[in-house]
This record gives sequence, structure tokens and C-alpha cells, in this order.
Amino acid sequence: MGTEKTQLKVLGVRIETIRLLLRVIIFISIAGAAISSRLFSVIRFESIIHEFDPWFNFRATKYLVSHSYYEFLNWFDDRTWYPLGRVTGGTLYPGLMVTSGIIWHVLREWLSLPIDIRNICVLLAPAFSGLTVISTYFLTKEMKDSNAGLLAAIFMGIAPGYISRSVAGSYDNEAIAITLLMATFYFWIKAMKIGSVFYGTLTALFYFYMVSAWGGYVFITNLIPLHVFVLLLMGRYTHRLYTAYSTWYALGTLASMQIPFVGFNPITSNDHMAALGVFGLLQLVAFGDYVKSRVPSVQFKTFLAVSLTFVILLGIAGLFGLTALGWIAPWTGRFYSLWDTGYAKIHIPIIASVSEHQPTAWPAFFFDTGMLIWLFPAGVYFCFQELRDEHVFIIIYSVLCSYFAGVMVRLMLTLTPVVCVAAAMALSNLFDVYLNIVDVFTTSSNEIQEDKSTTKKSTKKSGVLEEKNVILPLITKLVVTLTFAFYLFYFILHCTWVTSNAYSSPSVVLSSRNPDGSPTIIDDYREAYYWLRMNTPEDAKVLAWWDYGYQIGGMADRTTLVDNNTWNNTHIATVGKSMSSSEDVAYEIYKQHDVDYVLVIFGGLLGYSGDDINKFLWMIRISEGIWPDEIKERNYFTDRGEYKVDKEASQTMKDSVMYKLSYYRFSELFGGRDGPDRVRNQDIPAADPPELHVLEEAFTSENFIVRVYKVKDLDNVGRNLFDATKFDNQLSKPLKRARTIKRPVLPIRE
Amino acid sequence: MLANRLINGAIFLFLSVVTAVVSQVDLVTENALVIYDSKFHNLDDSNSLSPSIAQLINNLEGQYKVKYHTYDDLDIKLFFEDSPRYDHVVILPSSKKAVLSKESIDQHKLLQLINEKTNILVVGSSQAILPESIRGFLNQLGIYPSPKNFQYTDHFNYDGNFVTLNNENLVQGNRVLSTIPNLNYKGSAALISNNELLFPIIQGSATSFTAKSGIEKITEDTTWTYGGQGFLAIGFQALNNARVTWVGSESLVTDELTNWTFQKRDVLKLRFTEHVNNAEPSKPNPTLYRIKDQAIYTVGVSELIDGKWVPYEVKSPEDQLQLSFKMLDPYQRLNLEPLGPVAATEGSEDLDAFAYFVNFTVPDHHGMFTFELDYKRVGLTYLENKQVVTVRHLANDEFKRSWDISNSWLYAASAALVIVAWFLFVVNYIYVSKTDLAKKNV
Repeated sequence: MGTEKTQLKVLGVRIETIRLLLRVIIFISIAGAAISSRLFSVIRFESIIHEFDPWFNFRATKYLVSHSYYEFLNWFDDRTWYPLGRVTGGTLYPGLMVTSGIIWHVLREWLSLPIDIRNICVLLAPAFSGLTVISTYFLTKEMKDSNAGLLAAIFMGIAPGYISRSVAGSYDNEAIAITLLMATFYFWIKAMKIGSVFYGTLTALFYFYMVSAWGGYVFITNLIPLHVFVLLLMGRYTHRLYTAYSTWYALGTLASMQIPFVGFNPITSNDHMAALGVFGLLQLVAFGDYVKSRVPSVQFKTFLAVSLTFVILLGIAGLFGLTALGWIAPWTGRFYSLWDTGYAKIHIPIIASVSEHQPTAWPAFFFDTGMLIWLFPAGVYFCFQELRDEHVFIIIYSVLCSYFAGVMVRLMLTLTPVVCVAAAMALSNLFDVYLNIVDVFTTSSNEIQEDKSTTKKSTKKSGVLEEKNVILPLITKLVVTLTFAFYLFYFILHCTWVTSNAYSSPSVVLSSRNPDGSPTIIDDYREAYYWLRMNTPEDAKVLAWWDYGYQIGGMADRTTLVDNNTWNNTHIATVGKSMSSSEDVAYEIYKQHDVDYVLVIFGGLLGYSGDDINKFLWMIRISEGIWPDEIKERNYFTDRGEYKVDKEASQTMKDSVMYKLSYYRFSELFGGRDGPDRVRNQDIPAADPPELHVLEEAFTSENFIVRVYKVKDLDNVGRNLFDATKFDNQLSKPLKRARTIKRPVLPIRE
Repeated sequence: MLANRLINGAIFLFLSVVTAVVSQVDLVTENALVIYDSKFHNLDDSNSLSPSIAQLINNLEGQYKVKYHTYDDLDIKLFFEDSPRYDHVVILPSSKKAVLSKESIDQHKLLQLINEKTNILVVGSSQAILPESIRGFLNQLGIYPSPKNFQYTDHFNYDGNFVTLNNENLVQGNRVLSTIPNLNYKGSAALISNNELLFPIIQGSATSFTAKSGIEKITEDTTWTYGGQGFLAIGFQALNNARVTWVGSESLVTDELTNWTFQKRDVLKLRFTEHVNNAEPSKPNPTLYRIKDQAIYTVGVSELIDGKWVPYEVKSPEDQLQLSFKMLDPYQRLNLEPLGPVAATEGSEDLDAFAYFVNFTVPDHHGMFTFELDYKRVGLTYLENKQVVTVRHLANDEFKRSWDISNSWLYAASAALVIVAWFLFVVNYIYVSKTDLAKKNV
């Protein structure tokens, strides 16, 4: 068939050339679609870094381009985690920053294009999505053919599940990590298929890049060994597999250890033990294979049974023993929470408090992948049908990731690629059958010829049949094709809609509508951060919940106590304690940590639900984990166990610094009537407004979203700040003249 | 070794004074205000004044531009705009419950004076009324003087008219008054709160009490203090070093007390502070240290004596200066060692400050550390200095090289051995054993 087709010519041009040309044009279009759909955020808002983590990456990138790589590697950051500091150079994945740094240098020094580093950072994710499209094409091509590859490429380009992490401005590790994930998988499949050391090395190289870019590299570290392990169990050991895996493992592990943050993890942490174990197992299997070829099969069976039991027992005992001895680090909390969704909530509230670590709601699957989600099982089914080695890979990948994506919202990101690949395979199989209209005519004419030559009797009958054979398949094919064309069309609409409406908000800037329906921008965050930048001393320390640490560091350029790199739970709990306890306890924490300003996010006026009062329970839980005697979650609920902020709120709640800072002077906005909190739909009593003693209001943004308070100095004449504030507040009132002077009741002087 | 460091320290000291603030004693005459009641003190007739008040007026006139106001004056203005008009204020007893000019002298204004570094001397009396605003102000500091007609009494040291005070009543280590030889006292007493900035100067004896005079029966309502809880003279120094003294009777007002209150003595000044990395002595006050660096911290302290800054040398071990090197908790808390008199200004021949230093190893812990000098001694000006520095971890090339670690030799050797063995194996496999294989196959 193939040789016949190569000779086909259209308008004198060889059809292969036309195919190539078409493929290139399709690729350019797909990449164009992928990139342009990610630019909604820039068009709707501006070229701005999004959300939280990207602000740190952006700040680190700026540090990298303004310092040497050596300084970046040994960067000790004294602007965060005051006063502990952070060994930033050794605790980050430098791949993203180095990538942008290289692009910046190349453009600047080689091409003389002095582009602002911010624009490079903003547009890096869309640019890499173009590369993801290409690697997805190659991966799928290995699974089926280039038709499926092209379908997978377009799916990958516009699937919202991937777009959610790669819109312009979403300058996060995942932006380049997905590209590297697909590239690594492609090279692995290639290496495994042809047993090439070259492709094995490429796999290791891309694996190294992946390790340098994202903590999710552990997924590859476990998925490839699992693939090999399953192949071994299926009795599909080959020398090609041995070559590919050994090359990848040896080179990849050595390379990954060069990243300071990873260090010796590949040989000391449980997350990496599977790869090491499979490497060992593969050596044994290779040896067994050698023995098998030399000894009779009966002896070999006993040899195999004995040695296998022995090896497995030894391996398991070794793993447990070394973990018990502390030589191998036990699984991390994030890992446990993958298996037991309730684990984090009980043991590590800090992990559970992150919204992207919550279990996924089922509509999210449809929302993020559209119609692909129901093509996905069909694709996996086709994999089972053929079940080549690479199909096993897709099966394992899809099973694992379906589970993970169900457990954690953020892992939807790793599921999306395999959904795209499997769906493309299913759809391409379908199109192979139903889009091939030529087949209808060619096969039927063949049949006619056969009919004519073999049976002369039923010429008339077959003539009738022949007409039916042409029309019926044509109709069915047309119906199926049109249906799927409609689905695809609808899918594109869905993707565009989701991208433009759900995933393109920078979350630093909020968009809203005025009462008359006209769009408006809510820019409180930047207003407040800019206020901090311009009005506070450069070494001022700002205490805020950790969510805002990166943003304060990036936009306000002020020292923070905690940030989104949640490496020190106790320090975060300290901040949580200062928010959830009374003012005098908080003041001690402020003084001990040299805090100058306290920042809270409050959405009650505007109805912005992601505010600190809604996160408050997590602050309480996290600090309760460290100080169970001082902070008790129960005390913040009403007697009936409700989380209330109105007049029914518990006394502990009303005394907490967080409550006071959020609702300080809130009811004044409503002319002395009870102020409605539009997030919690409760009325804040105007009769008993919160009073501040150790803090004073410094700044409140236009819509009350960001409120900044200044920590008062110690009283000059040695009173406690409660008495001092009470005294200062008397200023306006006339002095009450006492008839008789009463003897004060004083404690015994120490 | 130590001598070497000492010399190093001394050298950096002289280099450092660039950063020190040059300051001369202010030559502008300071302003003082005396608020009095003409019923008690006729300041126009110096003969009618008691010797201690006459001496006080004399003392003030000799040093300051003094202004006099009675409680009835309407034009008393403590502030011009927001800055105080006076550096020192003396408040003498009053016969009236209120000050006529309520807006200008109320408790908030007086407290504001303290916050603006004005010193206040309040003289009490058992016959006089403390105006409401001044009482309220003293109460804020934690001084609760007894009301009118309450008199300090001690029948064991009583001569019929006066209570005799002797040095046993003097609180040890108060620095304000050194001696009160057999002083005859007739006046009030005060209770004090637990305010850490307050310190008693004269304490009532154990057999004393303060009660309403002329009343036979002592009850809860007619007494103010019992025994040692009554104080006759109290000193106070705010965090900004403004000083307040309260005395129960004008007989306690002495030059010694006035000079302390009005910052003529026991005034210290931090002339310079400097820290330096021993490895880089030419760069004073670096912001970045590395763990386990050697740091040298030096300070120069002067004391004001007779209007001149002279070196302040710590005499008693209790008064030693201390440095804390802290991050949340102090990792180091060290006594500063005396280095000797130095010139606080660069190029000056005048040895007007006393230098102290300490040499220590930065802890093996990275983070933001604070060099903290916190010197608070009763009666002396507070000295405070905080400098935050970053202590960084070892950089990737600052660890020991692998060949310097003897443990690594074993691993290096085994790695080399594997490479050699593998090479030999390959050579053997390809070239040597080939012939055998060929033979067997044949």
C-alpha cells in the first residue's frame, strides 16, 4: 500500500511532499492556536505576572539576570522568612529561571533585542505550550500514527486542563514542566522501542531538565520503572528494554543529583526507591535471562522460583530496615495525602489548606478536558486491543493519573496530556474508518469485479446490493463524521470559553462589573503593595498570611515572615497564632519578630470570597497543631458549632486579631448601621465595633480588600498599650473631676 | 593571638569613627519653666523662700533662661505648634484643685512633654493640692501621691514636728541622691506601680505610715501608705530618656536631684557602634556574614560631666555593657571588654569616649541576626543599638574538597577500581578471550 501511495502525484507534486507541507502548515496553525488562546490574559488585563508562585519565580529570575549564576546558586534570601531567611539557591528548582535567563541573554547579546525580563517571563508559558504540542505529536505518533499525532497535538494545544497552568503570565514551573514531561516520555518510548543508548541518553537529558524545573519529576521517576516492571511481569523482557532503562536510570539519576535541592534524594528518599529497585531487578532479570539460555528449563524454573522469592524478600526487608534506621527518608506528607485524602487534614493542615490540594469535584473533569474525557476510555480500550509495549505505558499512565487527578485538583494537569493522547487515538481510529470515503468505492468495485468473475448468476442482485453498499456506508460515515465534526467544533468553543473566562484572570487584578453592566477592574492588591513600597522603610517587616508572601516580596519589595514556600511549619504556625490570638499575645510575637506592619485581606465589602476570614480556620488549625493549649478550634465557633462573624460570634473570635483587623471601622461605612459582610452573608454589629490597642490602621485599599496596620512602638512611659490607648482616647472627653481621690489598688512592687 | 585581635580591634575602631555621629554639647541656653502658687512661694521675695527652693531658683537662674508662671496665669503655653517651648519644667505645690488654663496644662499635654524629651520635676507637699491634671499625669507614670492633708508619719523617728530621715531610707543604687544625713521631713508620700521605668529614691521606713493629719483613728480611708510601700522621692526615666522626679516635700529638693532630673549628670551617649568581620577588617559594618566567621563588635561610650563628654568607664561588674547576637533568641550574650579611651571623632586628639569590644564566633546557623546592645541601668541614660545582619550558609565551593576528607578516599579508590576493572574486562572480552571463543566454536 505504502509504496503505491508514494508514487501518487497531485498536480505533478509528489503526495509525500504535499503531506509534509500540510503537516507543517497544520503544526504552525496548531502552535498559533495554542499560543494565541493563551494570550487572553494579556489582552484582557495586561502583561502581568499572575497569582502567587509566579511572583517568586519572577523575583528569582530578576535576581538571576542581575547577578551571576554562581550568586544565584548560593543565594541566601534575607527578604523572606524573617528572621530565619531562606537558602533560596539550594531550595528551588532553577530550570524555569535559567531558561528565561538564557532566553534573555540570547536575545540581548546575540540578537541585540533588549527585551524586558518581565515580558519574557510572561510569554514563556505560551511559547513552551507550542513545544508541548510538538512533543505530544511525536509521542502519539509512536502510539499510533501521525494522524493521531496531529489530533493529539491540537487537543493538547487547547485543552483547558493544560491552559490553566500555562496562560501568559502564569510563570510557574508547570509551564515548562509539561513540555519536558511529554518530551521525556517520547524519548523513553523511542528508546524502549529500539533499544537505543542514544535515545536513552536523550531521555536522561530531558529528565534532568525536568528535574531542574519541577518537583513533579518524581512522577517520571516512578512511572518509567512501573512501566518496566509491568513489562517484566508480562514476560516482555528484551535487551532493548534493558539498554534503555539502564542508560536512562544511570545517567538520569547522576544528572538529577546535580540539582542542589534534589541532592542525595535519589538514593535516600522513598519516593525514588522504586526506580532503584527496578534497576536492580532488571539486572537480575538480565542475569536470569542469561542463565536461562545456558541451562535446561526445569533447572531454570527452580532457580527462578528460589532466587525470585529470595530477592523480593531481601528487597522488602532492606527497604523497611533502612527506613526504620533512618537511612532512607520516609514518604513525604504530600505523598501520603495522595492515598488517604483525609490524611493531610488531620496530620498536616498546611498541605490540606492549599485549595489546589483538595480532592477534585467531578465536573472539573469535564470542565478541564471537555469531550476528551469520554473519548479517553475508548482510547485506553484501543491500547488494550493492540497492547504493544508503548501501549502498556499509556495504560499505566492513564490509570495512575486518573486516580491522582481525582485526589488532588492540581494533578489534573498531569492527567490532561494522557487524556489528549488517548482521546486522539480513539478519534483517529474512528476517523480511519469513517472518514475514508475512498474505501467505500474501492472495496465495492473490487467486490463487483470478484462477483462478476465468480458468479454469473446473480448479476442483477449484486447490482442492487452494490448500490446499497455505496449509499448506506456513505450515510453512516457522513452521520458519524458530521457528529464528530460538531463535537470537535463544540469542543473548541468550550475550550475558548473556559480559557477566556476561567483561566485568564491574573488574580492579582480582579475583573468585575459595575451595577450598569460595564466592566471594571479591581486593583486593590497592587494599590496596597505599591503603597507599602512607597511609604514604608525599605527594611520594614510585613506580617501576612503565607499566601501573600511571594506577592509582597515581588510587588512591595518588603521583608516577609512567611511565604508560599512553606518550608517551616512552626514559623507559619507562629504567624497563624498571632492572627488567631488576642492582641497582647500577638504583640509579643510582633516584638520578637520585629514586625512593623500587619497585612490582611478582607473581601466582606465586595464579596471577594478568597479572603483571610475564610482562610482563618486553617490558621487556627495550623497554630493549634503547635500550641494545642493556647489555640483551640472549638472556641472560634458558636455554641451551636457555627462559624459566625456577626453578633453571635464567640468571644474568642471577636478578640482575635484577625477578626479585629478585618472588621475594624467596617460598620462606619454604613453610617452606624450593621455592616453586611457580603462573603459570609452576616451582619457585623455596629454596636460593639472592634477596638485596636497594639496596632493602628495605616492603609486600606479602595474596596477594603487589602488592609495594612502598623504595629505600635512600646509606650514611652512604660504603660501597657491597652492603658495607653485608653488614655489617648480620653483626649476628646472632658476630664471627670473626682470628689475624693481614691487610693489605688496596686500589685506588690517587684 | 588575642593581643593581635586587640590591636586589630583598635585599628578598626579608629577607622570606624567616620560613621559616628559628631556631636558637641549644645551651647544654646536651655529654657526652663517654673509653675508655682504665690500662696506658697512668693518668688519676688527671695527671703521668704525656704532655703531649698531659694537654692533651686538660684541653680536654675544660673543655667537656664527661666520663665515663671503661677497656676492662675492664662498665658501658660507649653508648646509652640507641636514642639515644646521648655526643656525643663518645675512644678511647685498648688493651693487650687485646678489649673486655670485648662487647655495648656492637662495630663495629655504633660505626657506629650515627656514624649518630646522635656524633663519635669514635681514637688509635692502635705498641705498643698496636686492639681487634677498633674495628678493624672503622674498616675499615668505609675506615681500615686497622697492627697491634701495626708502626712508622712513615723513615730519612731519623730521629733514632734518633723520626721527624721537618714541614709537607711535611701534606696541603694539609685544614683540620684548619694546621701541624706538626718534630714527633717514634713510632707507627703506616694505609692508606685510596677512600671519598670520607675525607681524609688527615698523609701519610707518600716514603722512609717501616711495618714490624714489631725485624725485620731486610722482607717482604710484615712491612710495612704503603710511602711515600706510609701516613697518620698521617686525617679523616672522614659524610654526616650526624658526624666521625671517627684518629691514629697520641698526640703528634698537639692542640687544633686535637680541636676539629675535636668540631665546635667548620669547622661551617657553612644558615640559609635561598629561590627566587622575579622577576615575583612577594612570593611566596617558589613551586612553579610558567613556562618562561623569571627566578628568584632566595638562601641564607644561617653558620659556628660560638667558639660563635656568624657570617657565612660564601667566601674562595677554589674554595670557591664553586654552584646546579644540574636535571632529570636540570643545565640551569644557576651560582656563587652574595655579597650581604653579613644577619640570619638576622626582625627581628633581629644580622647572623649571609652571603647569596649567583644570578639566572637558567629554561630553555625544561618539567618538574620541582630547585634543588640541594650543597656538600661537605673539612673543612667539608656543605651540601645540594634543592627540586623545576614548570616549566610556556606556557598557550594566553600566546603572541604573531597580529597581533603579522608573518608572519601575509600569511595574514590573503589570508583577508580571499578573503572579500571571495567576497562580491563572490555579489553579482555573484545581481544583476549575472543580466541578462546573461536576455538570452542570451532
